[in-house]
Amino acid sequence: MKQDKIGGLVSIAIGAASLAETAILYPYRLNSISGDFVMPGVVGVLLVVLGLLLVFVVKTPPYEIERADRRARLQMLGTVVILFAYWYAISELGYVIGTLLASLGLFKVVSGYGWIRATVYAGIVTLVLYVVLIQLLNIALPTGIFNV
Amino acid sequence: MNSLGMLLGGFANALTPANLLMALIGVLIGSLAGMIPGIGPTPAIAILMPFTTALGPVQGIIMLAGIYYGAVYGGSTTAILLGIPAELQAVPVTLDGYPLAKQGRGGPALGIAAISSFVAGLLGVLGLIFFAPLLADQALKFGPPEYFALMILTLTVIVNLSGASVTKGLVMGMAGYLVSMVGVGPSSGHARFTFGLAPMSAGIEIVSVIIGLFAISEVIVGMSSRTPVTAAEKIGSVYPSRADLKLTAPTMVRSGLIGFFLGLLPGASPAVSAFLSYDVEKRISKNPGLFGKGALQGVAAPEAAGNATASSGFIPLFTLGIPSSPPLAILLAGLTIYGLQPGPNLFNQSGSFVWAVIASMFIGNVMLVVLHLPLVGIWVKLTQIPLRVLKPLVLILCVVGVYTVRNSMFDVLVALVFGVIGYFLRKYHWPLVPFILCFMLGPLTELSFVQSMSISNGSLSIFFTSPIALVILILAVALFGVSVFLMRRSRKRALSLETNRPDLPTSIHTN
Repeated sequence: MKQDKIGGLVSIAIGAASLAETAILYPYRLNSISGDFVMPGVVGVLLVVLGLLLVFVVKTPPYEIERADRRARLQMLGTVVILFAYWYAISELGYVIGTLLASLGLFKVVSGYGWIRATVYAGIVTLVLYVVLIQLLNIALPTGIFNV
Repeated sequence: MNSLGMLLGGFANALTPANLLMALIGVLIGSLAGMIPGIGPTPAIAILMPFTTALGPVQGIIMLAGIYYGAVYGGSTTAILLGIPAELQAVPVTLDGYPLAKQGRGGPALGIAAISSFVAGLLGVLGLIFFAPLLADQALKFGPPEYFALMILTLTVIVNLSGASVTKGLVMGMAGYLVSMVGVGPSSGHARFTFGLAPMSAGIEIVSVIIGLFAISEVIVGMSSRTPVTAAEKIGSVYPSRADLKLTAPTMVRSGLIGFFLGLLPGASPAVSAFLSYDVEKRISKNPGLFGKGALQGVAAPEAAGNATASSGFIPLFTLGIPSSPPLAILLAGLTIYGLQPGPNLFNQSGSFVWAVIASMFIGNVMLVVLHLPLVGIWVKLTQIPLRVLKPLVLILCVVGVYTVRNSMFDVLVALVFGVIGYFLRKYHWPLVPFILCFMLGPLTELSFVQSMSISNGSLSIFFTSPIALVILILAVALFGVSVFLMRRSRKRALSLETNRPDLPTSIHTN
């Protein structure tokens, strides 16, 4: 399939990068076939060979690619954006505020709830996780600029 | 001390209130995860693994093992009642279980499935008790060349875990090796693949990769494929009649034995044994025409074989460090997180741990039967929980879980990036398990190779002059052939079933 041939090209590119790293590591070798360069070298060669096989030789079995509709695509994109924003918010605003905001966004985007229901569910999730993780399991989580 | 004495010690350890509680929580969560379409054992173990690090190794692994066999057990409920096989191994269960449910005999089908699982699970654990120490006794003979040969043997598992294309599986495996090399080189101490980024020099945390590939991407993929809401039929009593038991008892034993022995082979997954045993039962049945229309043996055979393989799969996992299925690959990662090195030395170095886990599997199997037969009504209701309620919670738990392993926001970022990569890999059918397997085995493979080269002054002949290493390498070649043969056979069966039974869902998770 065309997509697998593209995957083969990616494999060749990654293999080439691994071989470039092998060349950098070669001066630090223990002997001619031992040292930190061996594994990157072997893996690099295999990735290039397998990639070439995928591009030129192997015919992979056909498969059905599930096409998401516009709504699902937006939902997926929104989820990824919220997750990366959550990563940033935990560091800056702290775990509690970050979790409240992220779960509000996720209940809105992923579950499709209205603002009121999403806010209530987000509050419950944040509270339950606070009790379980911080109060019961004593897990240290970031407190952010508000120290919460 | 002999196996029986060690097992009794294991029971004493497993029967402490805290360990019993962990086993109970594990089987409850596992059953729930197995029943809710869209979660399944692999994501369930991946999501909860970071939180178990707050527990000790024994409790953590008891809980994770409980989730595993609980999910295998629970998977039959949705397969029978809703006709939705969450994993490949549940497909043959669906073939006769769902028609039985449509006939109003879902209850006896569930009962037979539960009893088959129990019988086969016990058979598997008994085998684990007697076979595993035999293999572990060889531990002291293992040096770097033997370990390296063992790692090569493990690579044969990729064939079985590659899905439709072995080439794509091998590419994924090599990519896993590559990512495992990020950090500091073992022999020179020089940075590799770090691109000058300081957090990369500590390496990539395996939990981040697992959560990203198996949990976050699973949720994202789930948004594009909407599982149809299916109502469970009326099920009737779950207690099978004496005639039903008499009919299925030989099937349970036969299929349990098939599943057990296949589980000993590194490379044979529960799915392979489930299909094979279904095939065997159909061939030897006096009424083969009944299969596919509602034969109780058609439920008992794959259920017993799959569960026996799931239990005996712990033998190559504990003694050789070779996982035979995706959930066991994640469990292998769980063992390494606790600082335990699965392989020939595990029984010698951490015997009390291993025997406590084995004893807990006995207890877990009893718990599952007690929980499932009388409380089946509650479990049936749980299959109706809409996944959209759980998805946000799962995602939040993924982020927090990854953070708690090393208190590192970099690990969270890695998990999110792998979540996005995992989405595209799943979409274009690139198998994920070979990646994880090679990621885990990468450091040990490299270390054993470097040590072997040091011993032999750089001569590769060391792998062929050591008798154990040579035998393992020959075994690797033989198993490669057997794995290819068995997988092709199972795939042919699955394809012909999909063609003949268009009512069955085609989107079965093989990742």
